[in-house]
Amino acid sequence: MNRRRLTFLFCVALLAIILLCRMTGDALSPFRFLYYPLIVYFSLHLGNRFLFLAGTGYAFLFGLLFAHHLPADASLASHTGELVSLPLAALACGYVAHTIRREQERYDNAIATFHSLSDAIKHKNMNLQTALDALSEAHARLQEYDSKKTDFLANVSHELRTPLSSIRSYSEILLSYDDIDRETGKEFTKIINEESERLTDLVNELLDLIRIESGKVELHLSPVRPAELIEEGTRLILPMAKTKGLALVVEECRDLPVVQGDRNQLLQVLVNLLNNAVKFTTAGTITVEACRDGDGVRFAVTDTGEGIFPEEKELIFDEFYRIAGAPASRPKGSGLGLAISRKIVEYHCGRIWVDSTVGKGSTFYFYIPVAAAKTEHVAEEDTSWSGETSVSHRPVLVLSEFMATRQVLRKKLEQLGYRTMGADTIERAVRIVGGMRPGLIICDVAENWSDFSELAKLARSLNVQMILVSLFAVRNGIDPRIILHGYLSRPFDTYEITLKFASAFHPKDRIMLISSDKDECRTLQVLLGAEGYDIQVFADATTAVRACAASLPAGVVIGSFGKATLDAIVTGIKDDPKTEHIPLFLIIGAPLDRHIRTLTAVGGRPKDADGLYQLYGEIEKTYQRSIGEL
Amino acid sequence: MQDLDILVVDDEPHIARALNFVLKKEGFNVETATDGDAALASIRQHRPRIVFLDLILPKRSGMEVCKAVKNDPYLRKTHIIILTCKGQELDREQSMATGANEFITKPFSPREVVARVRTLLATG
Repeated sequence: MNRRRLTFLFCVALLAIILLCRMTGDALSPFRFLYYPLIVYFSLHLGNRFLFLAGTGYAFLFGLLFAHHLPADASLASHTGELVSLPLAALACGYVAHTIRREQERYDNAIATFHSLSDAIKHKNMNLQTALDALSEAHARLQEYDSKKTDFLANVSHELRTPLSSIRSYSEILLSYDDIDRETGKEFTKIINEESERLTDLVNELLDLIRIESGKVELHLSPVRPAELIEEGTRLILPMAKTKGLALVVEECRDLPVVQGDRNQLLQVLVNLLNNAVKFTTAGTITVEACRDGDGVRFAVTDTGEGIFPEEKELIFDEFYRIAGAPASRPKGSGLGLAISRKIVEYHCGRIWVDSTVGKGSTFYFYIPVAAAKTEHVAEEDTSWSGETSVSHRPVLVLSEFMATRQVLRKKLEQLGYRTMGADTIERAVRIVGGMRPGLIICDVAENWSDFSELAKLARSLNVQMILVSLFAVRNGIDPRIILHGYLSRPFDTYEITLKFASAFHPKDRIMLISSDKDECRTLQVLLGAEGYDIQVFADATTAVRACAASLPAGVVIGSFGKATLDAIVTGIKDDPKTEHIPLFLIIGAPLDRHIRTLTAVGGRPKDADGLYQLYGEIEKTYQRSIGEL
Repeated sequence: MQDLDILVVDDEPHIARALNFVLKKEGFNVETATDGDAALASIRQHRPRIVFLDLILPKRSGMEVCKAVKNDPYLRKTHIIILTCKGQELDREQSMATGANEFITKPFSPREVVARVRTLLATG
């Protein structure tokens, strides 16, 4: 209510009191006391100067209107006191009201300050919490890694010392005693020889494993024919099988597709399995076969050996795992062969597993998908792929600078049945995509990727769909609403921008542009100015958010900022009920086209990934489309 | 009565054989065992004076064998030498705690082992 209206109301109320007094006994009317609450109420709203006005006004009116209407039996003197005390009391009331009002204002200010401070603290707290979550996750992973490393070193030490002990003992025996007979001497020399061979194998495999673990292995992809692989593998293993008196049988399906893979490494896996089969089988047959399986090839090596207990089927692929309670006479390997094989197969997006019956034998399988390049077989098979098999084979690559975001997305996707891979930089993502064709790339563009277009180009050439995601921190936890209206890709395309803006804004609408990049500002200013929009430019995020609340523009374009600033701008605008409806556009450094057509931006702390159901819906749809386009 | 000087327990046949060879060559009465159960049975039956004991054994670990021997009043005096590849401090402390007398890390020198056995048996 404004001042003028209040003053008017006061006059009306005062007049009503006077009339009431006039009708009910003039100066002695009980209604004269109504003036006190009246003056208190209006002093509260109209302030200090009003006091004097009200006080003197009352004295004047009272004197003027009621003095000569005093009842005949009352002496004037007895009313003089009231004439003086009433206005004074009125003044006192007014003063009290004024003091209350001032304190009230102070209190309101304090409350406002408190709220804004507590908001700021809450926000900071939330950020800290997110950072803490990420840190503790990283810490747990490091700890796990550290204990794995310790175990690994202990195992390595054990495995190295065992053959070394034999070598040292027997060589010292041979040197110390001259009376050893020829036969025994020869036997000891043979042991030394065998054990040094074992040591060499172990060191080689160890180096292999370390190389693979450190991620330095590059897959030299080339078309590999399964039949040739099997031929070469059996040729290498045949002499060993012959000495043990084992039969080696090759069963081969016709019309096997050519797989895309690293020939030498796939051969290593096959030879490894064959080697194990021969080593742990005393009599019978070793069978090798390759079969078509969905969109890949499944290799199988079957032996008639002792078999593996069900509880050990997973464990045997771990480093240095040995069959529990194995007799001393059992042949010994390094314990690394299967671990290396598993790593290689996984690098090819494949799978390795074992089926076995104790006492009857085992079959080791490994599956390699037909990879990156298109082959005729793949084209023919396109329509027969069911959604389920394709979901489990091609991995989803999650690209985000933040480990927490990557982990949350990957974990959730894996729960949904996808295989996933992670990358923290564009360079790494480009390497991965170049090495193998993923089913889908999910790219967190919250950070401004400067050379994002390189990845986009590569993805386009391989026909891989990309989903751009921006995960912003939102104060109230889970918030699955879509909070970005769209993206503007740089270099700017007039046609694209015009199209996007025409559907969102009217001509002459005020558009706020927040960017610290001067070139970006100038270009957009010219571009949008020519379309008739009223452009308001801000370089500083905080000022911009404040100005946004004050001027309420029709739309906001957000330029190249770091993650933290971007978060602050988006949440600043979206958390204010006055500005939350304003459409936001984010500038990103890559041209958009049909390969990057699904643009989803979701709010919510990365922790509350379950709330991001829309995102997962999009992923599902786009993944199917991506696979379908193969 | 004791009818055996030394028992060598190791699941690696090469190592058991090497020790067996040198100790026999020096004229000691030696037997070997390749797992924990066999080792304990042999100790109970033959009462050897010295036992070379590997820690990692099938069926019953070296640590368990050591504990069983040291808790048996008739066998307590058996001199147990732990023989293992794991050169970690923790293993040493644990085996010493179960009552093992000595600790030798592989790879070892057979000559040194022989010298050690000789002094042990001479002092009784």
